[in-house]
Order: sequence, then structure tokens, then C-alpha cells
Amino acid sequence: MSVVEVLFVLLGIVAVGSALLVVTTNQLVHAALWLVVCLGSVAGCYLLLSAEFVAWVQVLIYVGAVVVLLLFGLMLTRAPIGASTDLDAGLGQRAVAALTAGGLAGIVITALVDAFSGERIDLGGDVSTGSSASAGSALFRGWVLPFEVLSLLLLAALVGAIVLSRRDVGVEPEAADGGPT
Amino acid sequence: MAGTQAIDYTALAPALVVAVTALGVLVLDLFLPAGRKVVAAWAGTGGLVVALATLLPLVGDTRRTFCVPATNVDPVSCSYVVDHLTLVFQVLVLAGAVVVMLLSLDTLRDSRIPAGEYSFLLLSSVAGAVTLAASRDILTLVVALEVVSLPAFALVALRRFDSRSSEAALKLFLVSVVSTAVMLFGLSLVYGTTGAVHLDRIASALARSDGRLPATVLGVTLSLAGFGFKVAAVPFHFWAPDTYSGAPVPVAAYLSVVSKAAGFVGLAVLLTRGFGPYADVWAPAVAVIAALTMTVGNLAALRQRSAVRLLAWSSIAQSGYMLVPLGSAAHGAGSVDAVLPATVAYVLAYAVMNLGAFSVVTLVGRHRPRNAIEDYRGLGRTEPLTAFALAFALACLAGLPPGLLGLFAKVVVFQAPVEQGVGWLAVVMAVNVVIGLYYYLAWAAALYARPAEGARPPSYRISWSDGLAIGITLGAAVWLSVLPRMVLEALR
Repeated sequence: MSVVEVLFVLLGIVAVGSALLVVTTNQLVHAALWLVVCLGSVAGCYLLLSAEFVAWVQVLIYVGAVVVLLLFGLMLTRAPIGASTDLDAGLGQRAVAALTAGGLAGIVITALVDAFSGERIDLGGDVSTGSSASAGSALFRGWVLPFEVLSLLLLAALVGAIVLSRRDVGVEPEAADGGPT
Repeated sequence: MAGTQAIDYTALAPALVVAVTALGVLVLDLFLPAGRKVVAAWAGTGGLVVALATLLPLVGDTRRTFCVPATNVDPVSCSYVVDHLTLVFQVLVLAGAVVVMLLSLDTLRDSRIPAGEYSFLLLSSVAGAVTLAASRDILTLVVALEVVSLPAFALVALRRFDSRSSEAALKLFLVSVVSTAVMLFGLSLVYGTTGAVHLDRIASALARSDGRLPATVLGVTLSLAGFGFKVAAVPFHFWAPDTYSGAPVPVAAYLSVVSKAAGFVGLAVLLTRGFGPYADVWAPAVAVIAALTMTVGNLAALRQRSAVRLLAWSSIAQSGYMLVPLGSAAHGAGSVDAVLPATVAYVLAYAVMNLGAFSVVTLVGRHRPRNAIEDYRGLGRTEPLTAFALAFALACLAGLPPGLLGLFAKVVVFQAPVEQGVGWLAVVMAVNVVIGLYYYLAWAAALYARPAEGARPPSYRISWSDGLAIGITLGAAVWLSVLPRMVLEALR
């Protein structure tokens, strides 16, 4: 095995292990921090595959923004941040969840192994496809339409969030029962 | 990737006009005095009408833009294609949105719902739906589908004085997020195995591959989830009844007609243009979903007392009918193209009749917030025209004369499984149509029943925007009942 392959396997183990900890720990803040480890090691995997741009976006958006947003959400809403047992579901629910997750993982892994087991990615050759330059030119030459549509989506999300947090639209109007006739 | 590309702005115009109107409405709202905010909604309605007009130059032509150059195996593929199918759905989406905006005008004037933001969110969602109808690659398709969904969460939650509204929005949000995640996973598997994102290239890659790769089969199946949510197909239907009854009634009308039509065009385009060669994989799955959706929707609708909840369950059942033609594809070559017109015809007919029913329900709900079926007793004596509009829409939904539009649409849908040899699906559908007759007719009969002792028979002064909405939908339903070819042969 080459250095890259060894590193990839190690990062994969870290990612899966921390992902399991995210869903099993009963401390909400710990879960968020384990998520940082998990997402960070996935970013490492991208970097090893020479997908440089995706790796840094992963760090910026997921580790930087999403997890910080999660922590802010916890802090600002005064959610309990110590160990909380009410995050644990009952035994029956756990069994069903484990069965579903295990079954789905089994199906997906079988399908993936079947489809891609023999595939090799040549990392020694041309690696420019993962660079920021090629990602940028693909985005603004070929994929400018979904990019622009996404900008509308973000604006709508922004306006939606603001309108839902406005206080003056939450007032009960005059009782409308019967109403004008 | 080639250098610069020419963008066909004529083809993009409908989506652009709607998006620009959305932004304009948002800015306009800032300059309106507090009592005149409803003017923003007027401007939004006007923008939609202009967008409808920009469709005219596109008729009878196939325009493509945002293309990638040909490779040694594939011809030129384009992300945004305006063909006949696209146009039919863009007309449906825009005209449906105009009716929804007309219905919203009085709601906005009488309640604390902020008109500017409401119009902006609705128009953004419509812009997504217009783009979705023209999307021919999976990236644009997914992004457009999200643009349809996301503003809807906020729209549903706008009645913040009502706790049901927040619950409704949360339910819609959670189901949407889960089904989108599942769909993205499925689509990424398809991309992984085919190496293509344009639907025509996916189709040719799938046709080239011999045998059925399990990863592709899994990907195709999981991709159904996102659209299954959008069209409220069982088992992704849980959000619909609560969301419809918690949302402002015009928003419920929007979700059940425009947003659902967007879901159907996405599903139809993805399945027929992209996954066509795998029809033997997805068609049985769609057939089972269709049968479940009809049956669950109709059985639950039988027990509803509230008008909006009844329409919610009935719209789930109607989704089942629309899925029937897609579910009966695959038995024989060219069957994918043979069944598509039936689905399109039914979606069109459904949009007209369901909007008709929702127009009257919005009007009654404005005076009777409980909006129970009993509130409609005796409407035929005091408000004969309104009652006739609702009765006609219900007859169409049931598929009984004089609602010939619904009858013809059901016959067209029914032909698909019969011609393609999926007999069991035809039987399930026939049974369901009979179940549906009961609750539609019970409601229609209540309209003309004697009002209960001591009850005040409902009588309203109908504002002209409501009247126009009811008039448009009733006129369309009557006209299409007389000349059903326009709908039934929309694709031929």
C-alpha cells in the first residue's frame, strides 16, 4: 500500500468512528465537536483524492459554518448543554433504528462494492480537475444557470428567515369568526 | 468546456421575468405605506401575467441553451430546454400562480401576513417551478426543486398567530429535508455509475450498459423519493393534510396545484428523459406507489369533516391517478413515450378542477375559519353561482357528468395500464374512482341540502378578485369539458 492509501484508510476510520460518536454521545456539544472531527477527516479524504477545491469548501462551509451555527444555536436558545439522558430513545426504538441503519448500510455498501470495487483513480497524472481554477471556470462557464438559481434560493431563505422572526406579524388579528357578511 | 456561450434570453424570459418581479416586489414593499402593502401583491400578479405573455414567442419551437459541446460518444447536451412539454407545464404553473395570487389578495388585506414578503416568497417558488419544467440535467433539476420547496416552508409558517401553522411548516420542512437527502444520494449514485449529469447522456449511458448494475438500480429507486415527497405520494404524504390545514388557504392551493405540478414535471422528465432505459426497474415501483397513494388517500378522505383536510387527502389520491400511467410504462418498446401524455393530461385537468375547488374553499374559509363541510350546507340557496362552481369542480374531481373534464382525464389515465397490460393497476384505479365518488358527491349534495335548523345560511359579498379567481377556474373547467382535446392532446 502506498502512503496515500494508508492515509486514506486511517482518515476513513477516523471519519466513521467520530460519526458513530456523534450519534451515540448524550452530550449535545460533544456531538457537535465530534462532527467537526468527522467532517474534517472527510475533507482530508477529498484532499488525498486531489479534489483540492471541494476539500477547502468542506472545511469552510461544514466545519466553519455549519458546526459553528449549530453551537450558536445551542448557546442562544439556552438548550441544555450538559449530559442529557432524554436524548436517548427507548430500547425498542433503538433496535428499529439499528436494524434500519444496518440494513441500509448493508445494501448501499454491497451496491457500491459491486459497482466500483475494481476502479482505480490515477492520482499521479493530471490532477488539475480538482483545482479551484477548473472548478471556478466550470461553475461560471457551464453551470452558471444552477448557480444563479441557487442565488435566488439563498435570497428566499434569507427573506423567509427574517419574515418568520419578525415580531409584528405574530399578532393575533381581530377574531374573524363569522366575519363580515 | 468551450469558452463563452451564447445565452438564449428569449427561452429564459419566463423564469427571468418571474425572478425579477420577485426582487422588484421586495424593493417596492419598502416604499409602500403601511396600509397599502397589498399593492406589492398586485405587482406580483402583474409580473406573472407578463411572464405568461413571454411564453408566446416560444410556442411551436424547441429552444436549447446552456449547452455543453459534443463528445466522441454524445451529441451536444443542454441544461435548459424549452420544448412542448416544458411549455405546457410553464403555462400551467404561471396560470395557476396567477389564480393563487388573486385568491391571496383579500387574505393579505385582511390579515397581518406581510404582503411584500408573501409575494416575494411565492414568486421565488414559482420561478423555481418554471425553471424546473425546462431543466434537463440533474444539477439544475435538484436546485430548481429546492427553489420550489424552500420558500413554501416560510409561506406555510406565515400565520404565526396560529400554532398549527408552525407545526405544519416544521412537518413540511422535515419530510422535505429527508426526502431531498435520499434523492441526492440516489442521484449521486446514478452520476457515479454513468458519469453524466445531463439527462440525455444519462439515458444513453444507461442504454449502453448491459445488464442491470445494482448501484444504478439503487440510485434510480432512491431518486424517486424527492419527487415522491413533492407530489405527496404515499409513503411521503404525511406532511400534506396537516400542512394544508395549517397554512393560509391560498398557500394550500399553491402546494396542491402549482408545487405538485412542478413535482410531476420533474418526475416525468427525470424518469422518461433520463431513466427511460431503466423503465423496467422504476415502473413497478411507481405502480406500487400509485396504488398505495390512491387507496390511502381515498380511504382517509372518506373520514374527513374539514374541507381543507378533505381536499388534502383527495389531492393525495389524485396524485395516485397521475402516477398510474408512469407506473404502467416498461412493457414494450417506446412505452415510456406512450404513457407520458396521459400523465400530463391528468395533471392539467387536475390543476383546473382542484384550483376551482380551492377558490371556493378560500372564499368560504374567509368567513368561516373552521371551514367544515357543514359550513357549506345550503350554500346553493344563498350563493348559487359560487355553489355551482364548487359543485362543478367536485363533479370533475369525481369524474362524473357534467364534470366531463375529469371524466375524460380519468379515461385517458385508465387506458394506459389497460394498453400496457398492467391489469391489476387498472382494477385498483377503478375501485378507487368509485370510493372517490362517495365523498365528492356527499360534499356536493351538502351544497344543495336544506340548511340545519336555526343555522344562518352562508351569504357573502364576493370581492372581485375572489370572483375573478372563481370565474377563471370555472370558465376553464367548463370550456375544457366542452373541448377536452386541448388538455387530452396537449402533448400530441
